[in-house]
Amino acid sequence: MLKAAVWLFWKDLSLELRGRELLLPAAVFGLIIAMLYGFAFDGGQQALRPMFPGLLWLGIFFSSFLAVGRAFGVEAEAGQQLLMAPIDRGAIFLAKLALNILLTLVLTAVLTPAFALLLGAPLPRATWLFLWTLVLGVVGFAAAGSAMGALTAQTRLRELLLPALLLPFTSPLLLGAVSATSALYGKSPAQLGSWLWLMAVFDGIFILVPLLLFEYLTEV
Amino acid sequence: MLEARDLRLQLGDRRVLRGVSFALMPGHCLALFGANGAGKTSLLSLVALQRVPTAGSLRLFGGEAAVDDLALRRRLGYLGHEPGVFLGLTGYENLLLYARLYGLTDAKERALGELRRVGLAPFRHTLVRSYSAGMRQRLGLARTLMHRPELLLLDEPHQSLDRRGQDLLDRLVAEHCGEGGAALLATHETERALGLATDVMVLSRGRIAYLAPAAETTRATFEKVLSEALGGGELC
Repeated sequence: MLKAAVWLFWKDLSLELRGRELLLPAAVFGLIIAMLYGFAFDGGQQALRPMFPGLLWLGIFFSSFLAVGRAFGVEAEAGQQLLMAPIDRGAIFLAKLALNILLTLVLTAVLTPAFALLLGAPLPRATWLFLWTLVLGVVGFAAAGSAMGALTAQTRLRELLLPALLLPFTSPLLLGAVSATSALYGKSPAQLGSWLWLMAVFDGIFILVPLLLFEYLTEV
Repeated sequence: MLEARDLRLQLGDRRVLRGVSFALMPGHCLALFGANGAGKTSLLSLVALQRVPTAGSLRLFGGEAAVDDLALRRRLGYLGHEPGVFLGLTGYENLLLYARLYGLTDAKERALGELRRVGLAPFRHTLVRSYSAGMRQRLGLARTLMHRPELLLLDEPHQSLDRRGQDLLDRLVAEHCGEGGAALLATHETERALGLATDVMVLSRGRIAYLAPAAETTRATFEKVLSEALGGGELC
């Protein structure tokens, strides 16, 4: 399965590098959100800093949604043909997951400094813990997005169903990510470990369960 | 090679197939005719293991067909309405990807060889997005044939192809069947299919309206059956 996943990831990455259909619109959207936040909240105010974790994660989630949610859609008919190949369909999920994680990580790497700059919030001093929080949040969102994207790929109401499923399902992750980031800024720091655990468990569930059930997800 | 018994398929409240039974032996090519919505594509999708029949039995290569049987999928070659290739990859990259997914050891050579066979070698490094519809169909045909499937499932494969492309398709299918493979070919290209097929089937509203060896089918009989199946309309 891993070998097939690697070939499929190569295909997905080649398509994205040539078409830039996923990352570019998502990055532009994220930067626009950051700028609008900056204008709306008069960035640089001290009072704005407690809101920074929430604004940052909402920006990351909404812009990532544009990339992650469409990852299955860009293939259309050719993707259907893949289902006939003699490979474990979990490989298709793994390849999409890897692509979505990569896209969301790049997006986060662009948006985090942009949000910090435009909202005038310094990044937390515990750099490694902050990076770890970002990675857990990004991986969880990419995993949930890959699973929901597969589930809704063939439905007629895909554009409506995907946000209706993905955003409620990822609300525990959003809560964990915002709370963990707030803890890094000094708000209830003792609870940081619990929030990181919550995110790690979420990530594990949304990677393993779809991997095991992908055969059935693609038959819906 | 293929044995279908009383195959039924219901999609929502629509009975798409209503008890279809037939067999396909090695070396045979069965041409499948019928009006739009007669059930041709649905029948192909069942044999291609894309759907599970509502009732009835489907045996492939001597065993019961199961949608999750990877070994069975390897023995099938399916070309649907779309060529099933990625527009953002080159022709060569498309075939190389499928060669690797099918576990072919000589993937690069096989991909190049197949591109030559369908006349696309000069365009191997061109993105498929730039291909014409006919070139994409040729590439889809190459993808379908590359892993040397035993049973070919072709859904209106002549579409988008020019005369030379159609000749090439007919020649490749004939070669495939001549080498002991079998083909199930849904089509509206009456003349070409009758020249190629060993057996003829006409579907009408999910039922078999006619099934006979092509050699025993006179032109007049076929036109009468097909005309009735098409609801009295003109032949396609």
